[in-house]
Amino acid sequence: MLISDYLYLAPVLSLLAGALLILLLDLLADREQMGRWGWKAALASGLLALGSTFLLGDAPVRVLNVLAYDVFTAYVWRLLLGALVLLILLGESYVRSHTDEPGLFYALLMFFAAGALLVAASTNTMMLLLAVELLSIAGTLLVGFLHADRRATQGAIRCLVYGSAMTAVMALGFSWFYGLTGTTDYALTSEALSGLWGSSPAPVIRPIALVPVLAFVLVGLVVKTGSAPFHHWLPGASDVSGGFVGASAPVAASLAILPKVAGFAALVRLTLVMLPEALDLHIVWRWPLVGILAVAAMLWGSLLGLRQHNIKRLMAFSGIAQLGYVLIGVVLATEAGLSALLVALTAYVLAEMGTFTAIAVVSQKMPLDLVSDYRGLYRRAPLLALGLLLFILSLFGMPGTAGFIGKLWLFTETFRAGYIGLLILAALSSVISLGYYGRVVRAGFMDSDAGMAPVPVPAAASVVLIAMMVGVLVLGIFPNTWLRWAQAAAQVFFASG
Amino acid sequence: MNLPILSVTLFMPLMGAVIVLLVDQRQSRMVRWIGVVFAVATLALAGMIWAATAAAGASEMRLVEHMPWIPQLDLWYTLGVDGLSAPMIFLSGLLTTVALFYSAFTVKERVKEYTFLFLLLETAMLGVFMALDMILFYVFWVVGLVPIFLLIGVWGGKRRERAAIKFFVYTLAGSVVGLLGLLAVYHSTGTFNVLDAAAARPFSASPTWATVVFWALFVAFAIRIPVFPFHTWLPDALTEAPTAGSVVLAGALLNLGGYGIMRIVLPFFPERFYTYAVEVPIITIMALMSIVYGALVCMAQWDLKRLLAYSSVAHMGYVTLGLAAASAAWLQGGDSSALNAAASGLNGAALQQFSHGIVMSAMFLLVGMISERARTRDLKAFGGLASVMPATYGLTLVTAFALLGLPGLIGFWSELFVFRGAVRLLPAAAVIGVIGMVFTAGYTLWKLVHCLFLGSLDRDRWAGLGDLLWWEKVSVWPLVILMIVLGIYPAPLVNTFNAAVNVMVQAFVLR
Repeated sequence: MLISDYLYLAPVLSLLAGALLILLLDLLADREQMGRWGWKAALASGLLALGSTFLLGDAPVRVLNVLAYDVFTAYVWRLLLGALVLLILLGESYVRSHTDEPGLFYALLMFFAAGALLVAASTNTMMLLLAVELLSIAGTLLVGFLHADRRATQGAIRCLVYGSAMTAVMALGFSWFYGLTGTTDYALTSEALSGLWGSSPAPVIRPIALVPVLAFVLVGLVVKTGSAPFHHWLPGASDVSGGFVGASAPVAASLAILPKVAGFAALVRLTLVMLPEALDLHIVWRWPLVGILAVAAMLWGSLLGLRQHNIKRLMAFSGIAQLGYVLIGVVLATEAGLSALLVALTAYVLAEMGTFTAIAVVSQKMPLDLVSDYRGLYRRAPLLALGLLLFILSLFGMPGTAGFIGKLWLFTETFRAGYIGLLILAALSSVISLGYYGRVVRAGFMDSDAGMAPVPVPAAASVVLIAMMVGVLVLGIFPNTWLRWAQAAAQVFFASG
Repeated sequence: MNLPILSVTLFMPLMGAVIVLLVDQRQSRMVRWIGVVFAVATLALAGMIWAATAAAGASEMRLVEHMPWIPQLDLWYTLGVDGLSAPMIFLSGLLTTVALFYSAFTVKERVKEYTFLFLLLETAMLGVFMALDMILFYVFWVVGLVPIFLLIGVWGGKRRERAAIKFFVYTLAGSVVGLLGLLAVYHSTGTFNVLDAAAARPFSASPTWATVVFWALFVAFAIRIPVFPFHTWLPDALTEAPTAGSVVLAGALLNLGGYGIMRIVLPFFPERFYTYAVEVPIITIMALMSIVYGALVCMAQWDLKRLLAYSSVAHMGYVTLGLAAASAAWLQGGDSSALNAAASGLNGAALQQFSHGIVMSAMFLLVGMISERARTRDLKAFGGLASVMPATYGLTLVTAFALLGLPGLIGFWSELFVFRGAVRLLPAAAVIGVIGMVFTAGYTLWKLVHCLFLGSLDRDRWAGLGDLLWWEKVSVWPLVILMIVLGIYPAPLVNTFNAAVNVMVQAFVLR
């Protein structure tokens, strides 16, 4: 353990320092000043964190024995921090007009992102558990952040209840592994597990007995990170007409992006380091466990999305379906499959970021977030409507957009690996998702805008929108450099053997 | 000369589209003419491509451009044209030009977006005809759907929403199936190159897989042709689209489906195609159903645009019939007369697409001009228009004769070739197909000529309709001239197709 290890934590540390600084400023400054300076301080620390990832070099480093800094971590961290910077920009106008405590919002967002960074880099089950907790506590507070809004509080309580139950489930799974192997380190766990059966004449425990344990870990991790936001959107008692608002759009965007990306990184590390191919458990883990989850997410997301009239819930279900496609990358667990996973994940982040930016802008005017609020959007705010169209097409996988490259690569690798059934289900889910994507496009472009007010687009939101549109198109047409990064990141796990 | 003429042509409309975006919205006059100028420039380049291909020998790929695109995924930016694609490129350029010119006088709202979408659509169409990499092909194939979706949905008629959504869902769903098929082919052959994959004969060792992938690809393209029973989106889309949209949709976009089958399905799976066209004649039956059902619906249909749409379905049935006949080449190793017949079927399919493109576009223009004046599409309301609109009458008469295949006009040759192939290889189907032609003659003369132009004129309603204006004539005349010129002297077109077709048919033969 070296002092220099802390260098590699620079991105995390700068986020935490930023959060503490904002909290400190919050004590000293009044609300007006916080509104002006809070987001700038957050932006500065986010940019500092992002910049520092470029100074750390490519060599793989074990940080404090519980984290790994390598090209894969760097890729995921840059993705997370890039999204964070945009989220801060996006939150700026929204937060100022919706809350009394802008400082607190940014501090929570920083903690949230720091948790995500740690989740992505963990190589130790206890570290992972702690990082997930940091992530989910900050996330819960973010959901409940609009104190004035009863529904936000409701959502936060729901997150808290589900969240703690899932922590217990995940901790139980990990404790089993600890009990069997006496270690919490991924690689050491893997070594100890392979010693449990195979060498001795009578195996201590049969691999099949560990399946429920694996299921605990998987469900815990996925619910806490991947689909954590969706409980919140589940209709519950209140329905659309009752004015179900849920998390504010910037918060919804954070929840849709940061934990999912981090969760996938953690899942990849678990799959390839703790349960590597040499281990009998590997195959059970990938298929049926992760595979079934992928299928369920794809079908569930696309089918339930069909019934949504609230655009945030619609996008949440679409996100679940997207998560299912990306999970296929984990099922494949090959070098190319992993590159494809990173590409699809990045495409998802771009499109989701853009979509939620558009939603955030519209919901300032019309806080009910109904799809019908988007009627004639093309006439009321052309930039928003065009952006939304492009992002939705990218989520569908339209050629020429980043989403197509991700899906194409994933599908190609799925075919190579021979998971034809999975492939057909993925295609089916894409086709079903057309049903609800089509509704949004139809409202935005074809329905008349009679009786609807124009939507002013704040400058910060325009910047984010245009950046995402350019990103989606450029990565969709000239993706070479991007794909090389993803390949380099995926190689980390396959270089030695 | 090293100018990459295919790329220049391909991106010429896109460049126009970008320039249109930069022009101020209020300058709609300027936007219109930018659109027309770029379409004309593209058309000129397309003509050069055809001439260059024909001069170099259209039997193999010419003007090839080959560059890495996404090496990680083994994707190449490969373009090339042969005798099969060069005339189609020209046709797409011609119809886009006509459509934009006609729209310059008729479309009044959202001109900028309209022009932008049309030019984007042209690039997508040209890309499909030029691409030799399956995924590049697929990219252009699918990208073309968005503009037409918006053209129908935003500028269309009363029930445009339903039509646009139906179109989008049908064709996108078909595309997803097609993508899976293409990936399977890649999995089997290890290449995305269309020609290499055809040479490698995907799944030749595994008949089950070959069957599944064959049907996936066939359905993907059949939806676009469209073949019965996948045709239901077309009448809605064609009816609701604005006139210029119908022109491009019916005349140029439908050709993508048939071209896809000629370029991909037939060369990849000649054996499967043979099986399902001749032994278990599902495809042939689908073709005949399109012909007969389409024609019968036309007999009963009184909405002018819907009538034309079903007529389109029927005419595209001949394309499928020609393709079915061509597949018979598979078994005919030594028999040169059967091989000739197969080549004739494939030539016929290509010709039928070309002639359908010209004739149907002219028809949609004329009918659009009439129904926009009269503000109704109900055939029963018309009659005796010949006396008020003599020029329209003349042009419609020529077009109608071309539609029913009168010798001396372009439609004759395509049907002749299709039947020459079918009679030898699918005699029963040929007989039924001929019955379809009788119906075609029936509804064309009865409805498009008699009900519209002859009989007694409702003077109160139609006396003031007025004949074609100068720009309407300029839109229609080029198409009519082509019908006549190529009807009398089809050699340039037939020779170009034939050069490519002969080589292709040889390649199908059982090895």
